[in-house]
Amino acid sequence: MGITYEKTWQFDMNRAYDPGVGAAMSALEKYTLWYCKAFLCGHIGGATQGLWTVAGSSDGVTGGMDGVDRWGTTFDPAKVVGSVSARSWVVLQSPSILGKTYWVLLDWNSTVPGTYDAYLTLKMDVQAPTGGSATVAPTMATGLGSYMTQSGSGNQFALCSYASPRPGPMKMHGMLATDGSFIILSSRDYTGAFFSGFVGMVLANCKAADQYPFYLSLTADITLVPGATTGFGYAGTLDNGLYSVMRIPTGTASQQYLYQIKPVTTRLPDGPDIFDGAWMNYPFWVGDNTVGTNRYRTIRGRLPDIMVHPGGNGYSSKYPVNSGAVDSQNNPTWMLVGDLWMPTNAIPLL
Amino acid sequence: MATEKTWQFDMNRAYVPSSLAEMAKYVLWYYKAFLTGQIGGAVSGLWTLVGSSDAVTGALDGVDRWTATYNAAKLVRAASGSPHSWVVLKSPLILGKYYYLLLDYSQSSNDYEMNITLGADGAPTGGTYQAAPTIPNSSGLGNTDFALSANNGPVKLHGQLATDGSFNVFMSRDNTGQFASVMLFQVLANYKGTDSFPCWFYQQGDSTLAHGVGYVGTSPWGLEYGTKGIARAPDNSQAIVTPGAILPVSTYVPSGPDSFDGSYIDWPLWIGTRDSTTRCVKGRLQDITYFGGGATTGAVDNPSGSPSFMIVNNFWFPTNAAPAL
Repeated sequence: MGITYEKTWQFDMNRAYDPGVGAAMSALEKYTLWYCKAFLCGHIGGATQGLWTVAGSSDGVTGGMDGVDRWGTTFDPAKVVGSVSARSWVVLQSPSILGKTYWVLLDWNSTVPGTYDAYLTLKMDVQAPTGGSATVAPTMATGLGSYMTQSGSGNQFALCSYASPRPGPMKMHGMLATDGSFIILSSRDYTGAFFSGFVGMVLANCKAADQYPFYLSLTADITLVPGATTGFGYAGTLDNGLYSVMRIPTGTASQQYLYQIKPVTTRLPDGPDIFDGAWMNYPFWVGDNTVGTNRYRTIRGRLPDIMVHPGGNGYSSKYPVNSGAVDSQNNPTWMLVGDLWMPTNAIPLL
Repeated sequence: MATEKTWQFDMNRAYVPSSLAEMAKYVLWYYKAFLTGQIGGAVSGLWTLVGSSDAVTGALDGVDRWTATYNAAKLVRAASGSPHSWVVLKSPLILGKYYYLLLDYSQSSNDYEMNITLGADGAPTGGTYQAAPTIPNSSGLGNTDFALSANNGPVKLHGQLATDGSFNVFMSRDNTGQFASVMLFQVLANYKGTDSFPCWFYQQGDSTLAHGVGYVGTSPWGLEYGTKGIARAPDNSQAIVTPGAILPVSTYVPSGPDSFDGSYIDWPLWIGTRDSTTRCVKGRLQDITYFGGGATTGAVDNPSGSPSFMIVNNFWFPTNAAPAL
């Protein structure tokens, strides 16, 4: 749409997975989780720069912070186990991001099966985690995130509906920038929407004193309904900030619940930019307006290459309103994800 | 908050007009005098006078007929075609372009209104003591308020000029708690690479002080409506219709300052339009940000120290002193 990327992206769009008829819902959840690890580490999708590494893992049998990837470079559903006891977790270590290293824990400490198997614990720290076993996730001394409590808290990351007659087919969509920023989306075929988004982004336009401008968010629409204007990216998901975390600017603690700042809705355009043919897009900033536990009133910075598409969910019939719309059918560089524009190199098959 | 541009300030320049008509003359003269460095002390980013009329003679000859010292007799309002005052100011070189700003006091009845024209596609031509010059490919604001229609009394002018030629000039009537008018010209940031004219001009007055300038919510007071804005299309093919500021969501109102640096929350503002023929986002305003609420016009970010920003209704503007309103 005439707008060039700020970051350099590597893509793995429309990676298909189908667990087949009769498979449990958890098959889809396992693949979603495994793909996040595998794509970021370059095990699948072909990314070669900005890669993350496995600092430790558990497959529910053994676990430790020993650099061993127990989930494997080839998907094996037996290695990705959700449970409150013996379970799978992985710690991903970022490349150097403005001189800092980030450790991200994906801990599938959920009950299985049931609604809450679509939740996990997400944490992030700037110190290396310690400990960890097949039954206990490693300790992040100054980390923070969302904690799976088996009652609906924690980060949603997958679907818990569509179990019959089969949970799939589904597709994963990976985007990794050379600076370690990433966007990983998942979609269930024939729904017309993305159901989850895992976003790690080095922000732009941060304050000079901000030593930790890395934003992390993971959320999903676990009960996605085909054809509905719901799913990841619509108002109320990425923008509501409930599943996000950043280190505070000075680095002594972390903050949660960072919201995205949208432009005012009374200035919605009814078509593309006249001068470059781009669909209107507004910059997207991250901040919070409230002080509280782990909450700080601040604006942290701008999300590069993620922009608000103001013609989303019912705003205007003249706008593309459905996820999956792209700026160019022949050479797409941007795609609509709910109310957001995100980079792509292919039409997402939803 | 730190400013992105380097600003020169002339805050709280006091004047006691003899009448409403004379108030307007002083405001108009101040625009010219401050931007050209004749008053206020600015030395960088100055605009230059390329022509003027004092309703006796007029031409694009570089002569400042409004004079460096204020003389109300040189500011004459009358309909175009009759002897009246005008002035053309030329910007410093801004990204390879010169902008020409015509302040034309060709208003038939209201002393507090004038006509403004802005162009950046070549020097103006013509101009006599009866007719203002013509600026090629220009856009105009007709009969726009810049002073008061009632409530004569002491006023203050507040001049802000950046070293790149951007400016904000306010007028306030004492003891009202509001800014009555503003004229601004901003070189934008984060504009498209193909945009040869990344600037935004805006002039607005609230002649009856119903809200004061910078007010959001009631057309046409707010910067967001853009009916008093001027911008060119990135390819200079046409004027952009009603370029205005893009505001953040209104539900996101902070209740206090930034937790980490103690500054008040401020949101970036972008300039764009949704008009069907010129729909685009032009770029971001520097040093003018959206203020969600919690303080009143005139409040500053550092009341006991060295203020760097002040509140103008729903917006932050740069300052180096608390405005005396």
